[in-house]
Order: sequence, then C-alpha cells, then structure tokens
Amino acid sequence: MKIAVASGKGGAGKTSIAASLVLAKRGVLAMDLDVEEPNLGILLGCSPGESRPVHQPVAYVEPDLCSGCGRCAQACAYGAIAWFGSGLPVVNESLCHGCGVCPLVCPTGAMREREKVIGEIRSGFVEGAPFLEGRLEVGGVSTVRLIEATIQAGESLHADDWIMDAPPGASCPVSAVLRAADAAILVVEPTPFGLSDVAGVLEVVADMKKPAGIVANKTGMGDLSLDDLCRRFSVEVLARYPFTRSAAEAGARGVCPYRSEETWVWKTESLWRAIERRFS
Amino acid sequence: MSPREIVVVSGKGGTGKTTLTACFAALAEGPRIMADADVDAPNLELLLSPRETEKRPFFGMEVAHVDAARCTGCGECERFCRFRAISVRDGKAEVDSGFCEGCGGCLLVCPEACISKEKFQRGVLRRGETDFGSMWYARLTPGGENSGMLVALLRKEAKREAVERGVSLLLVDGPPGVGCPVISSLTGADFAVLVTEPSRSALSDLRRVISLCTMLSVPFGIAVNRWDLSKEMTSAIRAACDEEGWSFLGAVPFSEKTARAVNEGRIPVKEIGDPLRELWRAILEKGREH
Repeated sequence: MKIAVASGKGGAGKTSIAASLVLAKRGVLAMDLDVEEPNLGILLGCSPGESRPVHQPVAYVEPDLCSGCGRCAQACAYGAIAWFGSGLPVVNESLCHGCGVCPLVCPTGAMREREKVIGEIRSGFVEGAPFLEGRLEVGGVSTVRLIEATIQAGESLHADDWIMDAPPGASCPVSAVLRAADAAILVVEPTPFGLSDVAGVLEVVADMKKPAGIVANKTGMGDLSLDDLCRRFSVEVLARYPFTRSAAEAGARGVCPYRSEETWVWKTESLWRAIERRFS
Repeated sequence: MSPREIVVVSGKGGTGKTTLTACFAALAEGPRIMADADVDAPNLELLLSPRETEKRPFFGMEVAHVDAARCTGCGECERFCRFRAISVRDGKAEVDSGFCEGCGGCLLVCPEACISKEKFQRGVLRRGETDFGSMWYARLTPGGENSGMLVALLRKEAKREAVERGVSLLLVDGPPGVGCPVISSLTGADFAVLVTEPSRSALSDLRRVISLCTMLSVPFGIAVNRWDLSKEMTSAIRAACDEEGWSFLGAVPFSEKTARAVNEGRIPVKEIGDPLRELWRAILEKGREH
C-alpha cells in the first residue's frame, strides 16, 4: 500500500508521523517528496548515500538551421522565446517549461532541446529499508516534475509498502503526491490554522476519490473538535498524538519522537493497525 | 513613492510566520497594508479578521479542453503531453486540469482538432479592512496550478493601493518552501524576515531559503521563534549567523499563553511582550540599512 502523509499546514508534524510509520514497520520504502524542503532523512537519521541528478528539457536554437520565421515564439505559451520580427529567436531558459511545442512547430528542425538539471534524487537506507529523497535545485520551479521523477525511481524498487512525506499546501505539488497514493493520512493540528489548511487537502483527496484518515497531532496545544471536519469529508480520526515538550525537543535535535518517546511507539503501532484495517 | 515591502518567509512551514506577521501588523506605526501570499493555505485572515470590501475571481493559464463527442481516443495527445495531464480513459481523452500547464501541444497534435483551450477559475482574490489597515488575501482552488501567478497578482494589487494612497509600509506573509510561490513572493521585495525555529530541519530549510534570497538579491535577516525549545540549536543558528555574516534580528520564546491566544484568534502582542518589540525594532533598523 502506498500511503501519502499530508497536512496542508506546514509544521503540523507530517514528517514526524511519516518517520514514525517508517520506523514502526519493516521493509517500508520511505520517500521524501517535500522536495523544496526535504527533512525526512534528518528525522530518520539516514546518512546520505548515492545521488543522481534529475533533468528537464529546455529549448535552444541551432542558428545554422533557423530560417527566422518566428513560429516558435508565436507558439510558446510562456513567453519564453523572444523574436523581434526577423532573425534568430532567443530562449529565456528560466521561463521555459520544456513542453516540446517549439520543436514541434519549427519547420527546419532548428528548435532543439537539451537537458537542464532541476534537482537530485538521493537514495540510502534506514535500518535496512530503502529511502529516497527528491531535492529541488534552489531557484528552480520544477517541483512537480521532480516529485514525479522521485516517485518513478520508487517504482523500480518494488516495495510493497510506501510512506510518502508530502509537501505543505494544497496545490499541484500535493496533488502530484496524492495521485501516486492508494490512501492518504492527513496530519492535523487541532487549531484554527490546522483545521483551515487541512480542509483544502481533503477537498483534493475527495476529488481523487482516495481513501483517507486523520491523525490529530499536538493535541492539548489546540483542542478544537475534529467532528465537523470528519463528518464533512467522511473520514475518521485514526490516532491522536499529544503535544509534549519532550517530543518537541527531540524533534528539534533531529530525533524522531518514535525513538525517544514510549507513547509514540505504541501510538504508531496502533496507527498501523488502523491503517491496515481501514484501507486494505 | 513606492512602499517599503517586507516579506516574511521561513523555508520550513509552521515556524510562526503568520503569527509574527500579524504581530508586526499590530505593532507598526503609521499607515500600512498587509498581504497574505500563502495562497495555498492562507491563515493571516484568521488573526487579522478583515471585513471584505472586494472579491474577484482569479483565472490562471488557459488549459486544454476535449470535445468528447469528436474525440476518437487515438492517444496522440497523451503521447505528446509531458505533464501527464491528458490521458485516454474509456476511449476518450480526459484532461486533468490541475496538471495541465497550458502549453497547447495537444491542440497541435490532435488529428481530429477536437481540443481547445479554456479559461478556468483557479482561485479568488480579496481585499478587506482590518483594524490596522487594508489587507489583500487570496485563495487558490485546492489542487490547482499557478499559485505563483496568483501571488504576483496579489502583491501587484497591494502595491498599487499603497502607491495610490501613499502608504509607506507593505507587510507580506509568505508561503513555505523555496519553489514557485516563494520566488513569486520574494522577487523585488525590499527586505525578507526569515522566521526559523531551533531545529535541525528548520536550519537545513533556512539555508535553502537564504540561497534563494541571495540569488534574487533580496536583503534578509533572521528571527528565531520558540528559541528556548532547544537552546543548543539556537546557539547553532546564532553561530551560523556569525560565521556566514547573516544578520540576526532577534528571538521569541515559546509560551503556551501565545499558543492559546492564537487558537482563540487573538494576536499575541501582549503575550510575547518585549522580545517582539525588540524584534520589530531590529527589522525596521536593518530594513532601513538596505
């Protein structure tokens, strides 16, 4: 089963819950798909192993072949090709989405594509199980492409169970992760911010018709009822993790609370049982 | 005159950007305008309680639309699309508008010419009045694309109003991460306040957002929230500031009173007290140097 761990709000505890789920079951593939700010490796204590670059095509002009017709510039939906009525077009790489339209419309084969690095996939092991992390090149905007490349790298590992740590928010990067998931775990801080933000993700999950469950985290810090939310989206609370200063302090040191708090161990074991009961 | 635009970002989510931005809005003197650029998960409105005065639909890029009656399900579009946004299901091509980047390639390769481009509403942009001045806020439709475009529009509108009314301060609550909405929030800003917390994860994220500020030539300073949750990590952050020459703006302690105030929808200016005032003073001073 491929499980995505999402939350909407940042800092709700996605990564801590994802890391705990990984540590509580043997042979789970751990994937950090929060590629803008990957932190799962820190909490899992995974030493970085191999790294390979991920590329995306960007357009360039072969001057000898270009007739200066300007069709590429007209066809580009992103305004990434400047053409001044005659002569060679100029590609602005930072605006190029690598969609492949300009080579398609170029009548002379002068519009070509080369590969540009958009980030890297790091791989390693956590207690014998595989770990993958997507890491976006700072300054780049190809978040979704890198997430998809990392998921593809995961496919080749043939693991039965996946835990995917999703990015915050509720837009295309989160959708890219949910699209690959069989089920979603939504980590909610029972606070006004937490509830407001998770609703957006639950809408996406409902649109995709994916089964989902709620994990209430840092209960006691906020105690808003999750009943309305559960009713509105027909989901259940699968586990509740209380806020403790010691868990927060462990997290600050980069230690997954699963390794330092006894409560987290049995809560996570019971969460796995709930996941298996509810989703398989 | 152009307003001074201060953008609050963090890299890691949940470090307290929104809470501190609301505090700055309350503490600032003189006319100011606020904007919430976290259009994926907007929360500033929960603390500033704007009374809505304006609401507009936001249209993103045009996306592909298939005329199912004419589609033969040949799959040419699916083979061309590099965003995996169009696929043939039950003999008909279907567009996943959340992934379509509007390149128009499928229109060009479709032998039946049954694909067109359509404008979709991708969110809402709002303006409202708060106790501290006007506020621009927006919400992207969940699952959607183009958050960067919506952020750019939101900042442009807030800035336009500031220029028109001669307001000298624009305070922007930014999104987490370093990707497209963050780049869109920071580009051309006068100063970035980077709110971090004393954790290894937050420090790792902070380094990435600092590289981004440097790349975009946006001057920045660092504020540590809940600094006493790990005195050791706070020292590590301060040491990194000294070593790298990053400017350290101040630190705010953890308190359950602060958390409770935010949960009740109150801006915790009193609860945080002096450390907050010192932080705001440092932001104004550092901001003036640039």
